[in-house]
Amino acid sequence: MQPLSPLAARLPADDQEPAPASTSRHSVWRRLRKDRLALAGAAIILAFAAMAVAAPHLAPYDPTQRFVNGISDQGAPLPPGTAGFLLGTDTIGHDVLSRLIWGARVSLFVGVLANAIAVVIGVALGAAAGYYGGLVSSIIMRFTDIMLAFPVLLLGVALVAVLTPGIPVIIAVIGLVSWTSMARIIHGQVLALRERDFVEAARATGVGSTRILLRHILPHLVSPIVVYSSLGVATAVLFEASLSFLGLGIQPPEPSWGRMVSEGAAVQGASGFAYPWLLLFPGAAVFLTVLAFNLLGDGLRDALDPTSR
Amino acid sequence: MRRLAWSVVVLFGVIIITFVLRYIVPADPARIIGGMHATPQALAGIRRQYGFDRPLWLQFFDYLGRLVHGDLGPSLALGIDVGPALLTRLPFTLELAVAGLLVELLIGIPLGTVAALWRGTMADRVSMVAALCGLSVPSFWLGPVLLSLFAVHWAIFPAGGADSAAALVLPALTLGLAGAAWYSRLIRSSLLDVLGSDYIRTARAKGLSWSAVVRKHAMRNAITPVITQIGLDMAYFLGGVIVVESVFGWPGIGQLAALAISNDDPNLIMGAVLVGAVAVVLANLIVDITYVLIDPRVRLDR
Amino acid sequence: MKRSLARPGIWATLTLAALTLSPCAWQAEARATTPAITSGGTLRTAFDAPLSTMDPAVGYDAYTWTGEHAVFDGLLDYSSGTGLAGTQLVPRLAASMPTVSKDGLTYTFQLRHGVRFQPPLNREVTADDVKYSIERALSPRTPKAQMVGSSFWSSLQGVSDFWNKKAQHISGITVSGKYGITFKLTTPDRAFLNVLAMPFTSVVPHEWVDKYKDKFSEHPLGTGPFMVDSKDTVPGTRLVLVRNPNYFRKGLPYLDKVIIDFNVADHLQIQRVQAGALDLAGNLVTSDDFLSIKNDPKWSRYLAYAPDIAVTYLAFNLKQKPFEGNLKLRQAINMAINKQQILKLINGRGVIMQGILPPTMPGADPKFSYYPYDPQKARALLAAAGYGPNKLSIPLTYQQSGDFDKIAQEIQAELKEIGISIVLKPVSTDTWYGSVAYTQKEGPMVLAPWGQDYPDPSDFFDPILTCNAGSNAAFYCNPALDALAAKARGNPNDQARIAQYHQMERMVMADAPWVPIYDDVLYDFHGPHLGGFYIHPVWPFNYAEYYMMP
Repeated sequence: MQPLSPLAARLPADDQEPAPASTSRHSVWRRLRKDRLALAGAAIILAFAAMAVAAPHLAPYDPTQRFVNGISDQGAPLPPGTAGFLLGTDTIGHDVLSRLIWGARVSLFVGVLANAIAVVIGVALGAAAGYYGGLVSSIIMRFTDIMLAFPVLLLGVALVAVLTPGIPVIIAVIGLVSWTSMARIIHGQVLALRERDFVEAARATGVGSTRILLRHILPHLVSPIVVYSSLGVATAVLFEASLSFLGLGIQPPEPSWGRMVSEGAAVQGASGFAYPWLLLFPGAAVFLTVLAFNLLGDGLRDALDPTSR
Repeated sequence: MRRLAWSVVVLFGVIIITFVLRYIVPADPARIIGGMHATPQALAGIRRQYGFDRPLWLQFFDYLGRLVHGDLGPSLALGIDVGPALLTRLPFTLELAVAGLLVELLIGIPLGTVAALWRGTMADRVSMVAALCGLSVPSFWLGPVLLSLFAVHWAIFPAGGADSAAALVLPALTLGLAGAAWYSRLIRSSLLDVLGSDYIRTARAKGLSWSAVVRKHAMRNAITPVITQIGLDMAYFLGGVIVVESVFGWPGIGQLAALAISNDDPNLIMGAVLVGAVAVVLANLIVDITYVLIDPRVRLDR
Repeated sequence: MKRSLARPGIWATLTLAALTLSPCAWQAEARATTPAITSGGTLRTAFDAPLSTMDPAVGYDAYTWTGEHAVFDGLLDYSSGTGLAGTQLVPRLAASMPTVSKDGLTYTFQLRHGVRFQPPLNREVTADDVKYSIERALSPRTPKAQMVGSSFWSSLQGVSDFWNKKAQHISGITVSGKYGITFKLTTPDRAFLNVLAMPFTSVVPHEWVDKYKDKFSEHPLGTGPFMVDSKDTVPGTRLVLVRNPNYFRKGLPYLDKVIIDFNVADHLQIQRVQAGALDLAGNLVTSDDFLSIKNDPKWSRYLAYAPDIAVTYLAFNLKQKPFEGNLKLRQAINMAINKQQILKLINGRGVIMQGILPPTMPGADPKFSYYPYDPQKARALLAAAGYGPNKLSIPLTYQQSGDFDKIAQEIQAELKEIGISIVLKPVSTDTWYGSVAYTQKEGPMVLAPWGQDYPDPSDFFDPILTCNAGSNAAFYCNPALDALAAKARGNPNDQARIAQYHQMERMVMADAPWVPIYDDVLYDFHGPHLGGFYIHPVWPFNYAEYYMMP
């Protein structure tokens, strides 16, 4: 599990020059369209997003509804294909398919929002450090170093445990511990951008620093932000699922993929695979979502900066 | 030398932040300790006992003083002190981390090298997609699947615990597989960069064979980002162990942290975070020193 | 779970009648062909959580009693065997059963000679040690002592002055000579010997207590078959017990060593037993593991089971909102719990309960019922209680052990159907017993087990439902009940006594401090090399009598 997405934390490259001018919308789009893996990623994301949005209509049942006949007389969950339960039931009698569909809602919601927070913090800090330089930069970058010393999942777990688990807390915590990679990348980008002619020109004409940052520099940051956002969402989804696995995430009976994996793992019984569907499906859901965002992010990065391949 | 000084600063920053999180962030630290339904008298008693009613900077110095003595406070759930509890378990986690690192390097480097050397071929594309998949697999899923498959269904490995060397295999694989994928990609791009450089082309022009070039020159330069990454890996590992150790019942600080969660034990959780951060700082320091030893040309000033 | 003791005498007949079927079958399971027993070997076992203590004055659950029973002894113990066979009182540190005066108020014991404390103390146990240990267990000065103020001891002369700190010693306990000890009661108590057999009275050396004070639990030293190996023991992670060379019962223990690992999840314990890494899974077999083991011909014969005289119940904290003063709410929840479904979740391994006394308890009324399962009525009562649908959210605290997670989630689903939302708050077992259970930390509602201390109805009222009870999860206090309980405890007439307990049961259920759910059957799983294993109705593991087979 990667709370810190490795692609996002390619730190040796954080002082990389921003992409050359051949990033016109048209050429980027063309490159992206030819990248089949990235397209696959995008398709999967769209599928999950559609699932999340349409959950109330798509899911056959209420995911928190447990059925009295959802377990066998012996107390065993029902396998996929049993009448009325396409992907089977869990050990309490919930419908697995419904929980998977609704789980997409939670995962994507948390993932996207948490990443948004991380991006906002990271961009703000990184840009400030890159542009203002000097003491400001020192302080910010040192603070980033200190944050990087904390094992991310452990810190996140500690924070959520000390506050009370709940969706807003989880989103905030994930955002608050995940901004460091974005900050370093943006720092490098701004550092290079600062020396560019148009920035010099703007400064010469007396445009204020903040305006320069917002009007002139920020637009150039859009592509790295987009790329690393995609990877950031992957990280955040993984983070939320890990928290849920540890019991700190979404509380029962609300469905959460991570929690479903933890419950599935606990009941496999003495043969090792008594009820494989309880372990395989939710894990696959997390895997596919994370993979999709990684593929897309990878593809976006290649499309925006073809020289990196 | 500067690295050392810098590490101390980072350490201090870590301590400050841990203090903030431990005492300031929770709405009422006394309530965290006393529980949701503690009586006002009990809460007042706790505040006095822990010094929550004293000014913040005084509390901080108390905290610092205790840390210097290795006193991380009592674990309210286990009834033992946090410091010794973490210390006894730290070697296990370090053992797992080293094993995980070995998995990452032994799988990642060859894979990445192959991909770089056979760039553009099917082997390259397949291995890079496989790497991407490896990155995306959650360890909390991989762990139980490996456990069910190789320790229960086919009893090849022990079902958890730390009793034998064999018990290390599955947890190390779980911990290291994602990182292996990461390293393979890192090595691949790093090697490609190096192989395209003038230095290498000169060596080839001089008539050296590919394998000699790769072995003698390319790898040495390509490996540097990997070494930098190892230091950062510690941070990832010490976070990852909380899941892996729980799944496999590996008695390290990650398992203790997981227990601390279910026991509502803030001292223990924060202690684990502090120990983890310290370990990361030390690991980074070691990596930096190794870096210098390997390549004395590297300048260490910032 | 709290464990229970058994009582001989007049109740034996009723007990036999009630348990006729069970003990024979269960004993047959335990009394398999016994090959020649070889001494030596190491038993490896594990629990999902550490023992919250090793101090006999404090421990009051199956985990701690297992550990304490291995390291300490008291005047009395229970016979070996499962089910009924394990419920006879036998002398342990006492040389023989006591002489009881005609009026039932005086119990005189003679200690065995030559019993010595474990090394490095090695000195002989005297009657003074027994008096010291019991007073320590009952003393308000002993931190976390469970028996302070307990109704189990209220019949002992001088105990209330002792509890009020008006007296330094308990006048009812007198020592004569080196080996004589006498207990004087103020009223006859049919349960007194059983109370003496509880581990609280285990003999501890004052030198060790003085030396280690409140850390005595980390350095336990007694007279029992095993000693704690402090070199290999890691607090919170592993407990290692080694044979006590001074042990006074010759030939025991068979084992050289017992290694108990903590924090091993219960399903992992099963897997490790099957892989040969453990010999005994310390926790009860969960419902999922049970199904897969039962269906596996290779392993199903290593499932041991025993009846449990116990109740798993929901308790409402009568001192907290929303249950304080709201009878209708408590009744509503009583009618909303689908006990049949919960029983299904545990593979039907148990019996549904409608009252306080488990159906397996002698004197229980098999036809007792009070609140039917009626979600419709429950919704109406909820509204009458002042809560519209989905307006009430209640945290449910429980120990995260065995099947409790599943049952808690099922209860959550059932209460959702009538419009109450439950927030699950599991805690680990040692935290449950160590700091949460029976304190206000429980929160408004808990799911908890109570197992018998002895097969007598008084054990299901006095320690858990009376005003001063130490294990009263609901904090229920009804002076009328206390009065009736005191009368019933000493009532010599069996018929009248049963009637009184039935009356008490109706009294309690009318106030609805609980929702009793089921009485379970205990299942444990062990490996092929463990010999002599049985589940004891009290301890439940008697490590001293188990042995390893090749």
